[in-house]
Amino acid sequence: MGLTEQQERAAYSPKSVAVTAGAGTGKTHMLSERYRYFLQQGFSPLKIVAVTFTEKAAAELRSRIRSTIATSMGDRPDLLAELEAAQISTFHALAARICREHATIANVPPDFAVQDELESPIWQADVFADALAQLPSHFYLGIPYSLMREILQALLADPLTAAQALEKGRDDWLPWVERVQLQALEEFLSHPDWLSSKHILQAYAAPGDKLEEHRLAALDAIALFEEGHAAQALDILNSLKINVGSQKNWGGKDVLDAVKGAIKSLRTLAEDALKTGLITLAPNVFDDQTDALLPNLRGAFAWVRDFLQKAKYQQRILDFNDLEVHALQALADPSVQHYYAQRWQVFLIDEFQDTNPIQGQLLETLTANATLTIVGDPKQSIYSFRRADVRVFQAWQKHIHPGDDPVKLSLSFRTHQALITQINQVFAPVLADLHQPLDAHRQETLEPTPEIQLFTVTVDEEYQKDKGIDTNADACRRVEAQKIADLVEEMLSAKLAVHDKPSGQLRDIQPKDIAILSRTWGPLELYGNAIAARDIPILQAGGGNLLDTREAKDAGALLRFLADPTDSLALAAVLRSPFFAVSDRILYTFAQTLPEKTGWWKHLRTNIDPDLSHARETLGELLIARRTEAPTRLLQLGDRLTGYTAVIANLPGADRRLADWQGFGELVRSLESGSFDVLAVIRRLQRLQAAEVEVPRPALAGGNAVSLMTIHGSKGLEWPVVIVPDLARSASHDSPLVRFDPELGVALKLEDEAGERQKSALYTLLELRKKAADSEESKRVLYVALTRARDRLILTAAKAAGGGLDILQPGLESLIAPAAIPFAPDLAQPVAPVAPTIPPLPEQIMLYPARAGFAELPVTALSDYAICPLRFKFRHVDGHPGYTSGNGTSNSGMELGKLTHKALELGITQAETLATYAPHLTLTAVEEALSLAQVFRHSPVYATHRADAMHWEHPVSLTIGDLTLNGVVDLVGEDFVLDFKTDQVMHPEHHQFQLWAYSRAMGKPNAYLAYLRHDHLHPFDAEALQTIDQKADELVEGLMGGNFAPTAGYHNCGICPYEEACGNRWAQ
Amino acid sequence: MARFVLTHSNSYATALDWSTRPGHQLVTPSRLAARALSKPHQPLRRLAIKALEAGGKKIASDLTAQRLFHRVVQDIAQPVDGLGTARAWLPGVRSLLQSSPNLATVTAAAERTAQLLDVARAYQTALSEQGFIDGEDLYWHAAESQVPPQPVLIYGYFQPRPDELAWINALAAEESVLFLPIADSPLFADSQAAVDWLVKQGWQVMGELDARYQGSSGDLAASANSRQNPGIFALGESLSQVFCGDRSQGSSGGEDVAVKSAQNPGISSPGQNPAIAYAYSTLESEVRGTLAQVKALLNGGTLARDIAVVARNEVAYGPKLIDIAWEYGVPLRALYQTPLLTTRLGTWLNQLVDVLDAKFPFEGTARLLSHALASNPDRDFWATARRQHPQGFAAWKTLAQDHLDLDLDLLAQINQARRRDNWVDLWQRILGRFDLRRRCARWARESLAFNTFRSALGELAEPEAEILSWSDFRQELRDLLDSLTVPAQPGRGGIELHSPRSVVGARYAHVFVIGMAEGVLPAPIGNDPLLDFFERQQLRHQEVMLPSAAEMARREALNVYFLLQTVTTSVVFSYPQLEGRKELLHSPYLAQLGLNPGEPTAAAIASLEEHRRTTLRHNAPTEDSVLLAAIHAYAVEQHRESSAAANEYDGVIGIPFDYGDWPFSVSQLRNLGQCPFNWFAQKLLKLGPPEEINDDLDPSQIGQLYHRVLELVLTRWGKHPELEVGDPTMLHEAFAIAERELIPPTIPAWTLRREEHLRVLALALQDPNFLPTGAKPVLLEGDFEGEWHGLKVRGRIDRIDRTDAGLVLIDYKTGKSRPTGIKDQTGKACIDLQLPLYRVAAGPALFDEPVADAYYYSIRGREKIALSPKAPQHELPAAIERCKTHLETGHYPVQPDIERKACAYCDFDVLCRQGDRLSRKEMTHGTD
Ligand code: SF4
Repeated sequence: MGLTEQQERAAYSPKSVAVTAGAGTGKTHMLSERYRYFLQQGFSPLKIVAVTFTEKAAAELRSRIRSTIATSMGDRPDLLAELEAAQISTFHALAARICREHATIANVPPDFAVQDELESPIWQADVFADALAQLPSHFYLGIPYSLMREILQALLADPLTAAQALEKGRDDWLPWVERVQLQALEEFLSHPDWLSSKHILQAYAAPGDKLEEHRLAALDAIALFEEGHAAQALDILNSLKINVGSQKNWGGKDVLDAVKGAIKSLRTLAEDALKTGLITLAPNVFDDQTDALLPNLRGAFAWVRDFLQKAKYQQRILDFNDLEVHALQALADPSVQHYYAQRWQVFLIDEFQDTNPIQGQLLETLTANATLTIVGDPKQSIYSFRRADVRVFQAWQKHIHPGDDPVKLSLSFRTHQALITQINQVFAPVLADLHQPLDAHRQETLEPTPEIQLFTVTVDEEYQKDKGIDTNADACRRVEAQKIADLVEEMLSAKLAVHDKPSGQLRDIQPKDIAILSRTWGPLELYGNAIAARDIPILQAGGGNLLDTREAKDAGALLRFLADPTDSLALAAVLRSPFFAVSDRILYTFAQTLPEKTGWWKHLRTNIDPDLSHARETLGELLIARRTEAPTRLLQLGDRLTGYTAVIANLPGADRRLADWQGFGELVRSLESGSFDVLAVIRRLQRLQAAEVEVPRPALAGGNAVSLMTIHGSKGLEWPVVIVPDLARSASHDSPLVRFDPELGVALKLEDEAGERQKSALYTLLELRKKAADSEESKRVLYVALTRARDRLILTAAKAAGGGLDILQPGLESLIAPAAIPFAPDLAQPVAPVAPTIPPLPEQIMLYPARAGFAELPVTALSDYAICPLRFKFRHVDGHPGYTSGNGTSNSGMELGKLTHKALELGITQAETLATYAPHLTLTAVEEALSLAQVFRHSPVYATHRADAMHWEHPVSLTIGDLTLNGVVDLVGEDFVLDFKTDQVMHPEHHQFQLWAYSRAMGKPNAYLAYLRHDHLHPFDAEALQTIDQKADELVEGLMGGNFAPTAGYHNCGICPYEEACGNRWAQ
Repeated sequence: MARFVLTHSNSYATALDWSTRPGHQLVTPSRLAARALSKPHQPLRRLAIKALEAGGKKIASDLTAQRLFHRVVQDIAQPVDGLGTARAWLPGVRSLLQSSPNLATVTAAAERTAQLLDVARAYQTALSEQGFIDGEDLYWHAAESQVPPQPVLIYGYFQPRPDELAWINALAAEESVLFLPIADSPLFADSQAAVDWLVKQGWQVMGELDARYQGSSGDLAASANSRQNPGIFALGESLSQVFCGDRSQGSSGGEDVAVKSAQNPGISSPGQNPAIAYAYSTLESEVRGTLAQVKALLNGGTLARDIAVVARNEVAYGPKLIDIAWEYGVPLRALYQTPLLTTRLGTWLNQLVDVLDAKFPFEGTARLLSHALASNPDRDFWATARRQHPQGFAAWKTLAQDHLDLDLDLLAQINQARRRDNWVDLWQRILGRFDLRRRCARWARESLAFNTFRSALGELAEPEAEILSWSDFRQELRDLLDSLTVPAQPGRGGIELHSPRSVVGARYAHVFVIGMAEGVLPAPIGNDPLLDFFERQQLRHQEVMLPSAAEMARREALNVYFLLQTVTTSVVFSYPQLEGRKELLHSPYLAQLGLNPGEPTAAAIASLEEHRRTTLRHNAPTEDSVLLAAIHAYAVEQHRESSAAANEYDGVIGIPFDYGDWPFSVSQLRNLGQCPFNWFAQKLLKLGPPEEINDDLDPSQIGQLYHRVLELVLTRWGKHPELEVGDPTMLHEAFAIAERELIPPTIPAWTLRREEHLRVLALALQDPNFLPTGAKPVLLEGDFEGEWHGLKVRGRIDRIDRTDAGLVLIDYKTGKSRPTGIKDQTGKACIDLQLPLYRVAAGPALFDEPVADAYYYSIRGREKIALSPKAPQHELPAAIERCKTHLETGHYPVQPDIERKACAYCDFDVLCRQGDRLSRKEMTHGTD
């Protein structure tokens, strides 16, 4: 695909360039072309840095660039290879690299690890509690403990900004407070209601009438106000009455109403003004108190921050925030700047509107002399909760293009012309200055013509009045959900034509072409249920806390019980759950027989009720398994023994449930890491809950289904049909104890005499700013939502006004008439969930375990198997080294034997030399090994074998059927093989198979065991070896067939190193 | 005579032929490669070690190497964080060692590189002073060791590094053969350079079309072999050619080998379609799908040795594969090494060190001592600890002695400086005291871990006389846990999990390459933080041959090339579209192979668990008792989820409860009136949350504190009416008593926090509403019993005042809101229960006087809270009747108030299974 003219301007610019890329305007394509451009200019991929904001985007970009280069620069395999090492990554990865490469300057441990999102909050909460407890008490002067905790917690969530804010003081914010106050005043005075009311009140009078008093009072207040006594005046206005006055006195109803109306509007104005408090905004006593607290707060903040940092350093961890902070620290050093200036000369930065000020600073130092390409869309900046700030982008645009305009990509390849025209119309008044109209590449004819539709729920008065009918927001939302389901169903059954992106052709719509995008996860379940009830597949990707799902709670209860069998509540929960589905009647009867002070499990163990026997046996089995098995395995075992997942796989929402079950398993896996202990897992789960960590639920895989997701999650995606529901929901505002701003300072809500929290003036100012910023962001969020659509856009709301509807109102007003969704009680009923379709039975069913089989074994394995197949399994299948009691090293006899072999093989005669091969053996042991070796060297018993020696330590392998036996023969001679033994007791029969295998592998007719301790040579002659042939075959067959039945016995078990681990050991 | 480099791109057939000729020792990088040629395994490395040992040198153990290195780094660079720096630098230094036989003359412009070189040289010297070398220096040393050359057949070292080449060159006698495949692709640039170097050393090249050396016997052998062994000209060879860009190979590579393309992603049963690619939805389904195919092969008679599962990130896949393999009963073996810190023993020891450092805190010590390595789960050790909440050594020592027969005294001796050998001895004794060897014996891997740790611990003992502080020694312990490793799954047998690199030179009939995702395969080439590619470029000029970025990328690609060559019959590639919440794209290698990942066909059922999931609703007769139980559980759960009325699985037991003699407290009645199931669970099932003392105060403890203080103050004031109620001394005294009674001494920062509570109480006591003029407390925290609406009730009232108008009954609230009431007709929890009950049952029971008023007093809000005027108190009798009906009919449905206020502080959520399902249930009042 070629480039548009706009794209070309950006892609092939020799200089730095800032690009505003509207939704769907092909910026990734442009970026990969730009990458290619730089390669063609002679830059190696190692000199180019590309930064994105998500790992997914980074992977996508790398993949796009790779294919661009592979197809168009095929003659440069070196570049293609280097691309794999190129810095194409997220911002965090870039920061991490800088920290790693300059650990000392960045003040991070050189071998730090990055804490994951689950661990980090728990850790932080723990260490923070320690820090508070140890915080020197003088910092607490004037700041109660709980307030200190809350303030510091808030500040530490954004430490860099907080540090800046704490340095600010009254001088920094006072002018702003005054400005805001003045502005509010001006707005008030120029408010049309103010002007007209004043006019009316001045125009009429009715001396003697009751209302006249209020008219005069109002006029007085107006005067007072204009003289600058705003607070007083507002109070007066706010207390005016209009339920008095007679028509007669005023000369008719019209006049009376006009006067009343005027007074009423003044009153409303005053009321509003008092509520926002802006007109009277001035520093108050809480500002003074905050000022007084600031020095201690500063000190405490620095102290605690330092404490946390030290703790992190000690544990060699950083969290995601730290990466940026420390990278910035490193980059302040000129040598580091030089280091990167030498290496990186080109920067491509995507989604620049999501940059936060710290990242901005970081990039500024990194890119000082580099060629820059920044791409972003201020209209799609929706990550302020991650401190993204569009102003960074705007400043950089100006910086890169001081004289000319930034490049704009405004040709959308996504949205159809008809729809884009409407979207332009909607957002022109909404986004105002930010707005950038888009053109569409797609102009093909579509029936019906793409458009925006708007549906809102309306409630008849009749229903509204009826107390018996629930018409509150939730009920209306259920009606809205039904409408959405109707619309989806209609589109699908009408086989609406949509534009297929890959082929460019029209085709019938499918469920996967539709997306429902809402601001929050909350209502999606409702819409999903309504659609699913029509037998239309849906996909709700995630959302909510995994720990709140029923599956996680059930599995958690099982683990809780296994961790602590005295936890009767957990046990009861398990019994009631689908693990056992015991009825409450049985549980009741059981509980009635419970002796005083006895836990359920203790009682259950001795209970003989047949209704509880399945549970009793299963849980008993699991408790035994708990001693050796990991929590994840216990969950698997729990499923195997109860069929739990079979139950959830057949309930409504089965996919979601199974995914949650698996997701919980994965969570447990991450929590058990290392300790494999149920209690540790349970405790950490409780910590997660206590720290209120949201554990994300696993995503569900696509398929052909209607997608339901949040608008934030939809960024970068597109669908032919997009439905944006729940538009009337108003945003909730929080009111934290502390607000802070890097330029203005820290503001608090403090307790007054009566113990009520009151806002300081700065607090009000910051709150105002936050609200304004939130409402701007809401516009952009809607912009993102609406621009996901290719052809059709459906907006719905549970009310006629409010929330997003109000925001879009200026744009929708003259463009789209809302269609009513009439409220009906039956539509407002909750929808019953539908069970999943019954899966057919696949052809292939394999219920039983498959055979293990071995490819290779050491020759000694046969001997082990001959002694006891279970012992063979321990040693060879499980790789168990065996257990020897006592305090010596693992197996000193074996070590000694090895050393003897070494001495013989290498011809070592000096103990010191030999000792270096077994550093942890005692010198006596080494000497013993040496003397054993000497036995062979000198004893007449071995004279002939010494003479005929051909190979020492000769590797051999023998193949029997599918099995290869490997070993090393100690000594090979002309017609024999020989093995040294340093055993205390001679058991030649234990080694017969080994020697047999050596002789067969080497094709030597004789085999010998040299018992060095006994100076004895044990021969196996040809005949003896032959009798072993058949036995050996049987053994091989047995072990290949997976027969590991133990042959316990006094002798076998007595010498067995697996006695401890073995459940079948011989007992007297 | 000469030495030969064989550059056939398909080297296996030739190698097989050569391997049958006598006189050569076969050298292979892995057991697998040796197995492919049916020969014993002998790696270059082992030969090099032999050569080294013959020269009297040895490779330093990891521990020795690390310690020496740490010292060198400390001496030369003097970093703030010596240990961390040493750890971070060691890999860089090792690659330097590997890259050049002689670093002595190398200089670097960049300061840091120069320093690194200094460290490397000093490290080499330090090692050699003790007769050691570093493992990465092995081949250079071996190459100089003057061993007599041997005739060797080197197969599987397809991408030799310069040091390996040097050693090969030194090792190989005349007649030796080295296989170094080269195909017509830029990927082989480095191989070609290696060949060029060898030629300079006098080796002769024998290429693809170069049949000169293939004497008649060779020809015969090769063709004979190919007939007997169809694996020789196999799928892998043609696939690998396609991978290099040779599309013609697709159809002409072998007998009937063809790469099926995108349009036909193929049939599920493996073996039918030689090369397929699947896009699984999730990682879980990828693992299941893959193992199901493996199981089908095994069941069909294929040997485990002929199948391999290959993943670039085997460590990421390992645990999941092992779990699902367990479910399926597929023998699977993960061979990678894993650090001690990922084993029970390692984690436990690490925790022990933490506990020692933190001086036996509750949480850490509890976990430590309840772990299977320290205690027997049957002894309810944890349950005891939870109730007692011990903290500090002494408390734990007693508990461990009493409940585990474990003497912790050794652990008290930690905080002092000791000689090294004494430290080691102490720890050996600690291991013994906890009987860890025996406890580890339950697991093969833990046993290995124990042996590994214990012998490494022994090494720490030297130099014996060195004095170490605990923090020094602790660091060394932690280092051990970090650096020692054990196999992920010891033992052998079964299907092996490999990385592409580890299978080079092997032969498999069936290979499953999983995790073929962008960013995974090829793995992004990591940048060494110390010697980045820029620096490497600079060093090249001085013959320091650190691999460049492009070289490393080619290496990665060639690993895949050689992986492909191992396949004889079929290969399945796959990747998951989702890994957790991360979306993945497929690997570019798939396109390179002309494969377009398709959707996997319906999977087979490969375990009992899957079978049950599928057949549960099939109503087929079954003997699987677990399935029968699951079918029952399904019916139960289905009913709960539906809009049908609650049944005996949802609190409706239908057994009447005789409440005649049952004393109800206020909170019991409130529970019953808010959610009958709650009362049922608590009183009839006798359940409650496990008893546990917390680290921190919970709100109820604070409430108790407030109540107690107010009681004490008023009692005292009663005796000293001359004082103000708000008299500070009185308050402080009362507070001191109450906190001694109620606040555990271990609460962190209590001295700071108590001030706040004092202030709240002081303000309340000063509040005129607290004790209105004219009121005189006549009862504080008084118990009462009585009858109310035909129920026996009892309770405790906070305060009764006598006033001119009559008695005033007061209940303290810590917070500012009224307590939640019981449900009215519509299910809203808004009928106040407590005050009416007090009025009727408490006042008259205690005093024979008229009651004038009853209200709540908010301590924090400092105000009287009367009944809400909106509260439908007239409905109270009906509500109580409903409660009685619940009892009389044994009907305790899960029916909280509509706003679910009852659930907010309820402990039974896990039991009652409340949730969205309740919105579908109709509200019933006692009966159905
Ligand atoms: S959680 Fe709610 S529904 Fe469940 S028992 Fe408690 S109060 Fe009742």
